[in-house]
Formats: sequence, structure tokens, C-alpha cells
Amino acid sequence: MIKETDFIRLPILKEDHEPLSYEIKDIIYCFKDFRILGLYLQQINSIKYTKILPYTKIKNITEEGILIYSINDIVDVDEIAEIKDAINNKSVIGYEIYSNTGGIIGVVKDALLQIRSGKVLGFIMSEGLFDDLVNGYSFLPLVEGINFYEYKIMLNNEEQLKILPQQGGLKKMLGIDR
Amino acid sequence: MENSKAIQVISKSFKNLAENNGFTNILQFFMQLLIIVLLFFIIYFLVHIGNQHIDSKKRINIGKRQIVYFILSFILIIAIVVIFQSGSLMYEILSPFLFAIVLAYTLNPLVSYIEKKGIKRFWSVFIVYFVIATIIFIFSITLVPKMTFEVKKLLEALPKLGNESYGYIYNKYIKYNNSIENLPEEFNAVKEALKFNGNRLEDFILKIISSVTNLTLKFLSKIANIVLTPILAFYFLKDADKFKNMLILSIPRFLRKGVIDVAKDIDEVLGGFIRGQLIVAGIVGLLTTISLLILKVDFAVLVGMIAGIADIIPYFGPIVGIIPALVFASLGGVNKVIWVVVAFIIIQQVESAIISPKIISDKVGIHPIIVILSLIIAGKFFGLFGLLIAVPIAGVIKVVGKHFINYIAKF
Repeated sequence: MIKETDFIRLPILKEDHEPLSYEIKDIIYCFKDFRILGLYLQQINSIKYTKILPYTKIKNITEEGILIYSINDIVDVDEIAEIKDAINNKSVIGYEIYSNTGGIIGVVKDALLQIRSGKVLGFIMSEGLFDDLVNGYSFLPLVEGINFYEYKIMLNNEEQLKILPQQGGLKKMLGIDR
Repeated sequence: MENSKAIQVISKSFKNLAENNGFTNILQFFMQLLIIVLLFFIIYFLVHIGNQHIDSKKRINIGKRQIVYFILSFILIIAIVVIFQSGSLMYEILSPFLFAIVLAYTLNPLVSYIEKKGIKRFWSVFIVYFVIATIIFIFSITLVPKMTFEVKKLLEALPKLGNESYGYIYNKYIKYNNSIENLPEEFNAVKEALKFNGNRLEDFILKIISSVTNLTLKFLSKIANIVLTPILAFYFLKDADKFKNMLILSIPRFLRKGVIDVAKDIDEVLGGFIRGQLIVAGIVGLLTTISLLILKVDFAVLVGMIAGIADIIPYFGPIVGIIPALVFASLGGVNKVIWVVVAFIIIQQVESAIISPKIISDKVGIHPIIVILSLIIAGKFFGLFGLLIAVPIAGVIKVVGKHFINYIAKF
């Protein structure tokens, strides 16, 4: 498992671990089946020149960086139609989570992803400043039935029960979580 | 020799430090802190001793969790106290934000109404601002020159009015003192007490002049805030939902529902009152101005504005509003005074019988006695500002009190 934020700024490495002059700028999601289509790359020391690395072309993901088979795996935005269509899909970070009655429950802080397939497993969510401080972030697993609207996630009562408390924050830090 | 000088310097520094209020405050603070910590230890040991003599099920457990919660609550209370102690500084920093919030809160229904018509929120806010700017512009090109002329006239008339008043007061003073002098000897003590002290009057006038100067300086220093407030309000209005969500999410989850319920009720009471009262004050101001213009009373626009603003204060407002009108009407003779009184009575009757019930429709729902009591208390502590906020604050206290009683009654 890996978090979306762990990807950002990771360098791209060749098979022999030699770093390329690219780092990850953003993630391109496919919201239809909730998986990563590719990684949006930025050339180091440049803000203009950007390329795409399709997720299927990743050999391995390590703390060092992302290993690819060949430099040719890095392509232009226009080369893959699916990616071209999804390029403007916003990251889920910052999506607001609402109950069906319209009350706000929290905000998505990060997405948890399966390394091998790039599938979204769930979202790390904040349930508010106070609760974050005391209890830590919560986890919302991506299960069927969760409705996604424009920058919003809607949960019914049953889905709200699936939110897992993380038992972190001050409670864990001070050893009063049990 | 060198040493004695150094000792002198150090001892002087210590003396200065000790005489300084800050040092005393810090010492007091640490003393209070020490007392609280000692109190906590005493309670802890009393509980510990008590626990040894009662059934295990009935024991009070003070564990790690309770201690942490106590310390956190203590830090929170200290933070609140510190914020309140540095009240004036905090107010200076936060006042443009507070005023912006109030402005945004007042304009929000209008923006939301336009937004519901299918216009994006940014443009809705822009339209509202544009309309307000247009009104201010029309006001400034039509009424401001007239008002400036009136103020100029008033400033010119003030010395004359002052001389006349002085002559009047002086005559009364002579008569008054003569009457006292004629009192029998048995009333000597009363005589001394009643004797008019000219120095006191001088002090009083000087105080008024200095407070007016201070007020003007304060007003000028707050020009920046006046510019900043509508800019901040624009952002608050544009991102109202974001700020609302941010506020909701900052409330602990276990309190969230309760706080939202209370906030909704407060919004109903406060929102209805503020918006309604502003409309009513505007109508009263306009009616007063028109009637004074018809009656050809000097400074009609100025007096109309005062009457409108004063109308926000229930019961006492109309009295405050009528005084300047009567002063200027008196320059035109007794007849004018009578007509002004009649006009004010009619306007107040129309306001209390037709306009207010239609617009405000008893939103606050507080008994008149409580309204008067809240006005007296708020006026005593916060002056004119207190009178303006007394009723809405009383409304908020009523709502919070109602929810608190409901909460307690459930147990």
C-alpha cells in the first residue's frame, strides 16, 4: 500500500537505479473504476515541460523512487487517449464528505492505493481539527455504494458506519487510546 | 568602587522590575498556578483516601486519561483567559474580521437568493456589492453635499447656540444661587451642597472636548479597518460554504450536532432581528428626513440619519432620535416643535404598529421587561454600542439557555 501524497516529488529511476531528470508532479485518476491511470511528471528545474508515465509501465516503487523499464515508457499527454481524457481529473484530496442529510462529515486528506494495481483502497479523512488532534485521522474504505459528485462524496448511514477510527492523535501519543 | 556601581545598577533594575506591573502580574500568575496545582494534589489525595473506605465499584478513578483531560482543559482555560486579558489588543487585530463577518452575515441571504437564480456565487457577491456601491454613489452625489452644507451650517450656528445657551445657563445660575443664598440659616449645609460649582462645569466641558478629539483620532486610525472590512467580507461571502464547513469541522464530533442545532436557532433569531431592524431603521430614517424636510427643520438629513440609527435601540431609541430634532425645531418657534413631536409620534406609531411587526415579526420573542433590563445592563457596561447589541445578545442568551435547559432536563 502507498499513499497518494507519498508519490508526489518521488524521482523517476532507470532500471539500473540511475535517476532521470523527472519527478512526479501529480496523479491521474480514472474515477470510473477508481485506479491510477498514470503519473504526471515534471522535468526537474523546469516548470513547463511535462510528460506522462502510464501506471502499467512502472516496474517497482521504492523509497528511492519509481523504477521504469525504459525511458521510452515516458510519453506525451496526447499519446494515450484514456489519459488525455482524464488529465483534468482533480485529485481526491480535498473532496468534502457529506451525509445524505447534507451535513459535512469530513474532508479527504489522502488516498490509500494498492501498489501493484494502482487501485484506490480507501481514503484517509479528517473529521475536524479537534478530532484529528485527539483521535487522529479516520479511514474510509472504498466500498460499493459510495457516491461521488463534483468534489463531493456522499455517504448514507450504513456507509458512515464503515468509517474506521485510526486511534492516533494525542490519545495515542499520550497512551490513553485504550 | 566598580562593584558598588554594578550593585547599584542591578538593584535599581530589580526595583524597576518589581515596581513594574508586568512583573507583579507574572508573579501573581505563577502564584495562582501554584495554588491550582496544590488544589489538584489535595483533591487527588482526598479522593485516594476516600477510595480506600468505600466499595470498589463506587470508587472514583483518577487515571492517566483523566489527568490528560484535566491538563488539556486547564491549558484551554488559560488560553481563553490570556486572550481575554489582552482584550483590547485582540479586538484591534480582529475587529476588521469581526465586522467583515457581521457584514457578510447580513448580506448572505441576498447573495444566496441571487445564487439560487442560477448565477455563480462570485457574480452574485459582485452584483450585491455593485448595487450597494451604486446606492452609496447616488447617496454621495445627492445627499452628501446637502449633509455637508448642513454640518457646515451647524458648525457656524454652534457658537451662536453656545452663546445663547451660556447666557441662559448664566441667568439661571444667578437666579439659582440667589435663591440658595436666601435660604434660612438652618439650611447652611444644604446650601454648600447645592452651590453651583463653576470649575466643575469647566472640567466637564474640557472632558467633552478631549473625548471628542480622542474619538476623532480613533476614527481616523480606523480608516484602514473601514477599507479592509468590505474586502474581507467579499471573501467571506464568496467562500461562505467553505468557511461554514471549516467552522463545523472545528467543533469536536461529540458536540457537533448540539452546536449546529443551537447555531441554527441563533441564526433564525439573530438573522431575522439584524436584517429586519436594519430595514426598519432605514425606513424610520427616511420617514423622519422627509417629515423634517416638509416641516422645513434645519439639518433634516442629519437628524433623520440619527433618528434611523437610534431606532435600532428599542424604547430609548425614539427619545434619542427626537432630541436633536427638537433642538433644531426650537430655532423655528414653538409651532415647529409641536409639529415635530406630532410627526415623531406618527412615525413611531407606524413603526411599532405596522413596519416592525411585518418585518421583524417578533423574531427575538423576549418580554419587554427583559428587553429593558438587557438595555440597562448593556448600556451601563458598553455604552451606546451596548444599547445596539443588547437585544440580539439577549435573544442569543435565550436560545442558548433554552437548549441548555433541554439538555439538562434529559438527564
